[in-house]
Amino acid sequence: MQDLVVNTEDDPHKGQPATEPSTIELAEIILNVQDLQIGFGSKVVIEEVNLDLRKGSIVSLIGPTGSGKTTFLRSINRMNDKVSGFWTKGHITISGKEVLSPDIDLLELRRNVGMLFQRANPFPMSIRENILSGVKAHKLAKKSSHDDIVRDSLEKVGLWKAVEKRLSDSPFRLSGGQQQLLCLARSLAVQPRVLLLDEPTSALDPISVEAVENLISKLVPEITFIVVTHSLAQAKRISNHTMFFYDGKLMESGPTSKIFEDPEMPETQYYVSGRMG
Amino acid sequence: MSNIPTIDTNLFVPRKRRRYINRVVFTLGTLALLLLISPSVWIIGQVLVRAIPHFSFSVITTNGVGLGGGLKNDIVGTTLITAGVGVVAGTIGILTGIYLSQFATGQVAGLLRGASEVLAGIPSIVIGYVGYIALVVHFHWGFSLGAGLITLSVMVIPYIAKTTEVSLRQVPSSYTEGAEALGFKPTRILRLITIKSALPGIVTGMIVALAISVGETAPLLYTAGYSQNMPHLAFTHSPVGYLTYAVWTFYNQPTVTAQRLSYDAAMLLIFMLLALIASSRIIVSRTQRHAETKG
Ligand SMILES: Nc1ncnc2c1ncn2[C@@H]1O[C@H](COP(=O)(O)OP(=O)(O)OP(=O)(O)O)[C@@H](O)[C@H]1O
Ligand SMILES: [Mg+2]
Repeated sequence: MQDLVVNTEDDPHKGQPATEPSTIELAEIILNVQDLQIGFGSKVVIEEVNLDLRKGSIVSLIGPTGSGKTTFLRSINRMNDKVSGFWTKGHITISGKEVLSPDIDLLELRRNVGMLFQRANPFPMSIRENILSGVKAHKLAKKSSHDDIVRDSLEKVGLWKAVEKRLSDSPFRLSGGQQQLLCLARSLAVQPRVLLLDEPTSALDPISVEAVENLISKLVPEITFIVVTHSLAQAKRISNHTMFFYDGKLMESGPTSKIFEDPEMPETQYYVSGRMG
Repeated sequence: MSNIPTIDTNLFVPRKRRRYINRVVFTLGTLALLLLISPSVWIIGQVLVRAIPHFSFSVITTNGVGLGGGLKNDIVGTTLITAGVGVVAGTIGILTGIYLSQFATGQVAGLLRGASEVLAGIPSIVIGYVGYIALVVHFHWGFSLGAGLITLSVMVIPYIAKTTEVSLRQVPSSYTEGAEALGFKPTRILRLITIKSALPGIVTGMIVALAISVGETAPLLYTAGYSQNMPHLAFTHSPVGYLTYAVWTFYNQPTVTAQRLSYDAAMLLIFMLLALIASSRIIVSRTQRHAETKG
């Protein structure tokens, strides 16, 4: 729980986002959200979300519980589709393609926009097969290159040394943190352009948290990250853009340093100072 | 003062009392286990004690002749009927379970489930009689392998459908969500993730269904008839023998040879059941090597 403590004093990354803002400003816009409204049945859960996200950004979504972070995140890869009563208004475009359109190729969308869940969820198949599952589903590579893909993906997340000799073992014998890294490697194997992370480290110990965070900052700018987190310290450490959700509204959105040091809205001020949530 | 948390002392059971509770629960558990195990052990023991001393291999290599001979025709008959039920009821039952758990909604689902439950509740002898009227008489199939295995299938499909549906529903949504988020096709998720994780439950349902069909007599009397000839591989117009018939009929005969055959048949039935259970265990352990919790 160490990472949940807001500690402004000894935060080495204070005011230094993972990627330099200047390089991001030049990058193309990968995600655009316009007048987004989301609801379930007669209940409006999200209102007035607007966002322009450049390639290579790391965005953190913060806000009190029930404020709509997960709902927003899961709309970007259309994971809410099956929830009864779910509806959306407005636009989400990724590289110019309308995500909310009924004609979009959902499978291709989800290949491009990966997702990592709060609880690690390896599939009930060997470690190797877990990594290859997405590659096989999308027929991304020939069989002969499968070994390399497994190795590359596991090396990227720093898991190769630990599992090199147990690739055909069950993933459930790995530690919780290792399982989460495996899931990340599984997502990376299909070469996504955006990764959506919903409290990816809330079930991990501080060392695993650090491993995942370091990894995230290493994977930009090829991958753009949107991370839901309850840890303000984490938001400050990893993100260069922060969106503060409050009661279904995007209360404030801007550079992480601005949100934390000079917020406009009193609610944001109140939340980031750790007195709410 | 009111802010200081107080410890609810009721949570602490004195050690002596705790030990007492432990012992009572342990005794009850052991008792339940004995109640469950002893009838099976007793039945198997009784059958083996009576069958083994007189058992000769000619029993499984010769056909029945009147009140003597062997049980070869019955063994083959039971095997054919059970295999047939496995294929017919297995296919329809599992597909029904998949449909009910994944696709069915609203009234259709309710209707299908209701019908399945009613079917499961109908006594086997009634199903046998309906099989007789419909297949044997109306379709002119005569007493036959086909009529027998279709009738038994109708009887066990609800079991298979129900166990399949329940075990598919129990597959953690984190698996399917993970697969969806990776852009798997729904059919791929079903095939690689859902069905595979539900397999222990599905296989168990199949085994129970097959065990029921190995052990049924009443519906077969009406539909498969009985014959001491080696079964032909004919679907219709050719009655077949089966072991349960031998158990029942020969036991009620006055001759010792006949009664011994009855015990032999009972022993063979038990072996078949054990083989079924063993093979299901093998299938489950083979496929669940990477499961979160071992089956
Ligand atoms: N299927 C649903 N039907 C109706 N309302 C829902 C549904 N899912 C979520 N909600 C509502 O939407 C609101 C936002 O929920 P959401 O899960 O997005 O919050 P969150 O910000 O992710 O919270 P947390 O930090 O606790 O994860 C909540 O009020 C919740 O009750
Ligand atoms: Mg959430």
